[in-house]
Amino acid sequence: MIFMYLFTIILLILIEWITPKLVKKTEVFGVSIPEPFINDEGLQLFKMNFRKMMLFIQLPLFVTFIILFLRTPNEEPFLLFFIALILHLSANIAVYLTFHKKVSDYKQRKKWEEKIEIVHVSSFESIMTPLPFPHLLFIPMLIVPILIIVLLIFQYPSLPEQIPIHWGANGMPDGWSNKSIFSVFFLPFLLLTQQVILYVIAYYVQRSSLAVKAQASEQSLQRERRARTLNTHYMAFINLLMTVLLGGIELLTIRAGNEQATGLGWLTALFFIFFTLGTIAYMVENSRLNKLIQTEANEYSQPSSDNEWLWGLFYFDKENPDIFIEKKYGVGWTVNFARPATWIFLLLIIVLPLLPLFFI
Amino acid sequence: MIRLYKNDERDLYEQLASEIIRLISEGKLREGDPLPSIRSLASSLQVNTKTVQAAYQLLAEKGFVLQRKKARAIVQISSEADWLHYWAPTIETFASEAKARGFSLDDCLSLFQQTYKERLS
Repeated sequence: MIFMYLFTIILLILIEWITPKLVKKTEVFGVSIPEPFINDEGLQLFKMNFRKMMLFIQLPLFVTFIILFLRTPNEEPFLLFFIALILHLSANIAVYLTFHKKVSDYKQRKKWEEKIEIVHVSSFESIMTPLPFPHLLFIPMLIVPILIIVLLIFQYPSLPEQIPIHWGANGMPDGWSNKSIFSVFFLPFLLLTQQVILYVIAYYVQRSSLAVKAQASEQSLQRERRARTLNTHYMAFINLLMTVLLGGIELLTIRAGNEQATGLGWLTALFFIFFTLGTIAYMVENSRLNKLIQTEANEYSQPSSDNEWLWGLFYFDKENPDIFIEKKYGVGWTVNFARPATWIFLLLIIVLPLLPLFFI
Repeated sequence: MIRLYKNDERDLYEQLASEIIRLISEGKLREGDPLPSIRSLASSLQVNTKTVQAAYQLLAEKGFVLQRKKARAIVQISSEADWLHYWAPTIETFASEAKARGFSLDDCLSLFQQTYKERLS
């Protein structure tokens, strides 16, 4: 457990450490910076102080929990891990919100809004002829869970009475259930649902409207288009990995019958390796794209989007038809909470995998 | 690419209408092409939907766009007679004001030529 803790927290601190380097320069701690001022020195200072404050809070927590882990070796390590994680994440959010507030005030004090000329820019051509969506990266994958479901329907009478329904981190089943339609079809349904969800997200992210900057608009447009393509490819990659993992687990389990299935550990390990590599590649390319945002030494700036974002984290705009919105700081995507369709989508994500329950 | 300047003397919707007319004159929008939905154009421009609505309305009055119920607006260029009818009062006003100020016909023509040529480049 202590190794899991070390791994998780070091990763968390590392991510926080590099985040200010990965994000768009036009957004500092969730505050829109008018384009002529994105290289302001005060803002660089905030970024440096953020790192200091983050370490100042996270490191003592880290040391405290290491001592706690070593002193209470076998008493409820999971609970301790859980508490530690919650505290680290809360500290993380608290530091972020402090700096969000600081930069908001700083922006007000500097009266930047009075020194700029707002320009509304839109790539009309991109709305008229959007980038073609690569459906072929997603549709063929759907065959896998459907084939497994067909296979299971035929095999159902000869399946063992105990069906694994939960797998440990090593890929070995550690939870079983009596044979029922739910326990047999849960996994392929889960896979099918995940595929559909990733497909839907990738499609609507790619179709989301492009916010083009007022300075170096051509580069900004390229950045917006490439960020969408990158997301589509990342989603397709995750989709492939999930299909291999869940499909593989299912096939290996069916093949094993009453015997212990083999090869599950390898499958899971490969999944995590490729998942990590893919995610790192995504982050690297994303930060490269964020560096495409440039300035032209004039007073033009796109309008601020601060009013649509709560704390720079949650997006609400009922006039915007898009469900998926690129995160304010330009790494990853979030949803438009002001749209009813968003809530329906979030509900479906929870309900769909449980669909087999209704057939029992 | 469409650009609307907040400090411009014209309102945003007027600028948007003339930007769309520019796209038509450049051949990027053709007769029968659907225009983007009001909400998607508004969100990409980060303007109010009312701005786009007003721009489409103005374009419809000028005879460049046909607004349809429950369907996307399309580019539809009205007949020459309609268009001339729309501009007749403006041309009349311009002609009489120019004459009152002592502009000759040639002065008026060269003024117009200059503006028109700027659109050709």
